[in-house]
Amino acid sequence: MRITFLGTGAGSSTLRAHTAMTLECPDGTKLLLDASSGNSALRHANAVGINLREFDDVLLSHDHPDHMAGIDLVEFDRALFGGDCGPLRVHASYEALEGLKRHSITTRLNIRDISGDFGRNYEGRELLHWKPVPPGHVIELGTRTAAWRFPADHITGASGWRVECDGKAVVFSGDTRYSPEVVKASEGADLLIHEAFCVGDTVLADAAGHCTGGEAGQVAAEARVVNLVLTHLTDAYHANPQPLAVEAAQHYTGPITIAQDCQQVTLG
Amino acid sequence: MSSLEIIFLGTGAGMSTTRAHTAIVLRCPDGTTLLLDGSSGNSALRNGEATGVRAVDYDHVLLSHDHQDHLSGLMFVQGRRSHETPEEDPLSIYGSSSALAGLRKAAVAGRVADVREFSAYNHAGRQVLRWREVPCGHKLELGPDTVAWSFDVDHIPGSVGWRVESGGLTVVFSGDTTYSRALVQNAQGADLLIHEALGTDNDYERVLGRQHSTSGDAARAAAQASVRELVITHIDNAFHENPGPLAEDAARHYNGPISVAYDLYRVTLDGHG
Repeated sequence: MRITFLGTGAGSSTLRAHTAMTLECPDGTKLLLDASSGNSALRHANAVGINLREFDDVLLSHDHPDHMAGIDLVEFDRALFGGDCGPLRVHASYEALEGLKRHSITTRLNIRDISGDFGRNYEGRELLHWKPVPPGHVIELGTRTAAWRFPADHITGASGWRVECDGKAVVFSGDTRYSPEVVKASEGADLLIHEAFCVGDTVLADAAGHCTGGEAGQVAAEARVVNLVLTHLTDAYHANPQPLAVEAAQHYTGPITIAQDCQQVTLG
Repeated sequence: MSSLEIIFLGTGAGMSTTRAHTAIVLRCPDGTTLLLDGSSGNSALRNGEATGVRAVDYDHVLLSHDHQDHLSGLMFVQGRRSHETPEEDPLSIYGSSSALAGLRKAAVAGRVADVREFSAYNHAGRQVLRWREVPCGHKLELGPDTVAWSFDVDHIPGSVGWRVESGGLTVVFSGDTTYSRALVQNAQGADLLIHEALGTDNDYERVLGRQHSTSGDAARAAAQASVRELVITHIDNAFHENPGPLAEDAARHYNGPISVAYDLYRVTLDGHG
């Protein structure tokens, strides 16, 4: 399984692209987790030789613009140049999908009708397929790839995702405060990709709906994951992210990596 | 001697997967800092940071038209600006009525809490955006020695280009447009014309069909307006790595200096004095 970080910056970042990553599974399943903003996901995918038109499924963590606004351009690029590929399937909580629908019909970049199960362009062509996923519900995304959504503690409808293929499990926390739900869903995962907002100040992190490096380490330790990657960095930790890792290491003794834009990690 | 610096934060066409979307900074001789269009996502912020321009530096934003690749990034610019300095003045934006309608849509999509008719407020109740409709030809005083006005161009309804004059230097930005007579009139004698081009004259019909210019169109406008220098921008993937054909196409029609912009490209104009 190969994970590529297309964007690793917090919403206020001026140094990194906003959150997006790809998962390429051994059975050929290709998943986009969050979509960044603007054309950042497309540009960073292009830079590492990944063609997002080959990705049929998006797993969305929540409907904040820095995580979802880029779907506009991923979908537009696919519709124009992707041949006769079907609509891009977007899997998310009911609330996040409603937020995405409102976004799509507001920007009207390409979507003119959001009724029913699809987002359609002015010709009625189905470009986005809304796929609400109840929490804990397992969805089959490939012959040997399955995913499920779990609640994260950020905004209403915020989620994390666990993806499994051939016995390997990757968990993405989405944006979240420290949450026992994330611990439960991350149990024994080979890789936990967890957000980390700051160091030390749990009150500040909590008020922002995020967590500290230490809390991310705590989740990794309690869930006994094999590897921890920290992402969603603010500018304060861009050049020197070490304090986040040091704080996480006070709780978690496994390997800790700080994600970078365009970085790739291979499991198994 | 005064100088005017132009910094290209985004030089990609709407469907570019290789460049940031359109945004251009003008550092004027009188200290005024202008942003022409706002790119998408946080691209203007990232490429601004890379060239030493921060969200709090912008005195005014001038919009070319209501397309999301030219204005949706302003939501992240305002977010960063008020994040950095909560008491900062709201981002001041000028455009046509349709561009401002697009801006309001972007503000709603960008989750700015309270979007009103001429301004928008964040969750803390602070005014973070304010905008004003500008009729074509109306001269805006944007700094002690900086003025600008817009003129109609041909792309979508409400599309404009901008002429900016500061300290005796003139920069004209085409916005998105096909070959435009109004642009030729308003670009007369400019020190620099920044003109879009989606392809070369070989691809004239496809480019015109998408309501854009060829590099030949850009150069014809530059020649007819007797500008001193031409920069071509709004570059499609096909010309990202090798923009040579755009420059060669342009050179058939215009004898002055021609360059093809890229992200982080800078041009400095020195005063005539």
